[in-house]
Amino acid sequence: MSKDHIQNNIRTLRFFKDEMTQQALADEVGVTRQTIVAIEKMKYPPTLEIAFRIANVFGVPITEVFSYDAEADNFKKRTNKRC
Amino acid sequence: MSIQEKKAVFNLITTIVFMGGYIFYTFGIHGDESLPRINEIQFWGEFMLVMMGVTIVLKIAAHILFSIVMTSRHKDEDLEFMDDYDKQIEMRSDRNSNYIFIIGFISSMIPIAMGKPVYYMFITLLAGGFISGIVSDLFKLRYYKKGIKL
Repeated sequence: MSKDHIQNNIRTLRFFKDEMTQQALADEVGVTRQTIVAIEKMKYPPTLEIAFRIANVFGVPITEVFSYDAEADNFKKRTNKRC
Repeated sequence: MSIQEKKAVFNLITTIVFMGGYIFYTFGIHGDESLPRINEIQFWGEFMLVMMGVTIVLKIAAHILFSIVMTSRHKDEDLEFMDDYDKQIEMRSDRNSNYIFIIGFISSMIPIAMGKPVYYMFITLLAGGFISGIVSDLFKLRYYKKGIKL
């Protein structure tokens, strides 16, 4: 798996939301500040539910918060042996 | 340092102090009585059971004290709160710890199969349990520092 195939704009979105603090975002989303730090630094890809909650806090679609680079994602495709 | 990291550090210290302390107490301070009995299975049975009891009681007491101190320092925060990230880290570190324990358990069978004295088995088992306990907390700290990738 590639390192940065999932990017996020949380830092920028926080800035445009009156420099919202990580703690305030964490409280809104229902996680710890540590988790927001990890997500922002791309050390942890959040669950879909948390991702939607973050997008909801900023009032934007999820694609404006997270972006996915398919070319950078070196996942191994499954091959169906029966065919 | 977050509450979860503090918990991991505290767990690590208590595991080393209590288990290490009890091993030192048995084989260091009371070595004259214990060492001649290391070939007896009864001695190891007593040792393991007492060690488990002592460490559990001491850990409960230490955790109560830890909770009191942490509650006074972090009045606004819920100490028991764990989000998905914390749960993922806990599961992964427990998995790694279990691997170490299984390796220790299987390794402890090797001296018995080779016809070595019984204390080889128990020492290997003890070392496996001790290392797996430490590894769990070390991995937690590592995952909090480096992050996790799905």
